[in-house]
Amino acid sequence: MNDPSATGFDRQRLDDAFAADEVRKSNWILEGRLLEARQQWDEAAQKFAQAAEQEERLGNHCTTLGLSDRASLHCFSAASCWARAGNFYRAIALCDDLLRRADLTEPLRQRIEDYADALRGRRAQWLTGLPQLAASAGV
Amino acid sequence: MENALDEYQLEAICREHPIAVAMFVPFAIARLHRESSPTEARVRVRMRNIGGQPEEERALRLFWSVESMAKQPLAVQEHVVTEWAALAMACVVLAKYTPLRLRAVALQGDRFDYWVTDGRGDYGLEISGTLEEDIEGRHRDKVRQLLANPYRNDGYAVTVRFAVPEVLFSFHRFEEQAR
Repeated sequence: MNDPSATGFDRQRLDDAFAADEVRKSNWILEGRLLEARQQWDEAAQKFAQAAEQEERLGNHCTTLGLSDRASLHCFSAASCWARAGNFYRAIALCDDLLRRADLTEPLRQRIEDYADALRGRRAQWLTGLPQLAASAGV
Repeated sequence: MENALDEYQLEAICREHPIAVAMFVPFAIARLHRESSPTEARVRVRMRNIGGQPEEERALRLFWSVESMAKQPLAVQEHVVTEWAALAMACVVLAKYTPLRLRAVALQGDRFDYWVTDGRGDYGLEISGTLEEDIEGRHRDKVRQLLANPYRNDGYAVTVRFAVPEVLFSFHRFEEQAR
């Protein structure tokens, strides 16, 4: 048997519907990874966008239940999934929402800050290159 | 210590775990398959702090159907094949030796996090695969990564080496990182 004194996220207040939604978004993430690895970018982005929406719903549900650590996990995952889907704006907005929470652990706060900074940097690179991209496409 | 041979059918992970791990079966076969034994492999499984045992070693005969082998090229990079083969192997040892099941996958920044459950709680799971690299060193890195989890949860690490198939599977308490 597993160690009964192990410390993990408590599942006691989560119902079967929550579990089913969690499985669904996990499958989208796994399918997204597979498509990404096969360089099927559009299909991968669609899976990550579906996963992101589901992660947001799961996060909001956990917030309603007062499960703040679990809510943070889902919201950070939502931000990461949006970034993977190519939606930097939504990803950064979710990170900023999370960073406004007073109950984040310091290591998680640091990880989210680092990630949001990386996304901002990547977005700046993208925007800087956009005029050349448009010019080369004849737009 | 020599143990009796355990047996497990690779495809059984699809029934045991709630998430869609079937897609990873061909990757495990690709890494375990040998011309001399095309539908089975012997795997050394070393477990630490699993099931209340400080240290345990098992010999596992893992077998699969020819129908589960990839019909077409897997069309991903070699390191991805190894990574997903390791995920399938983690699903095998979880199902064979524990009541834990792979419950969820999350993206945390640029990292993928796996979560296992015993029905009462969720615990982190770090998975790593290598062809020939030193399994102990790789496992130590994964444990360090696991214990840096920002949620302060206990968790598990699974490292798989495929050259001579071997799995290292261990449980860790978050407070270990303070030592």
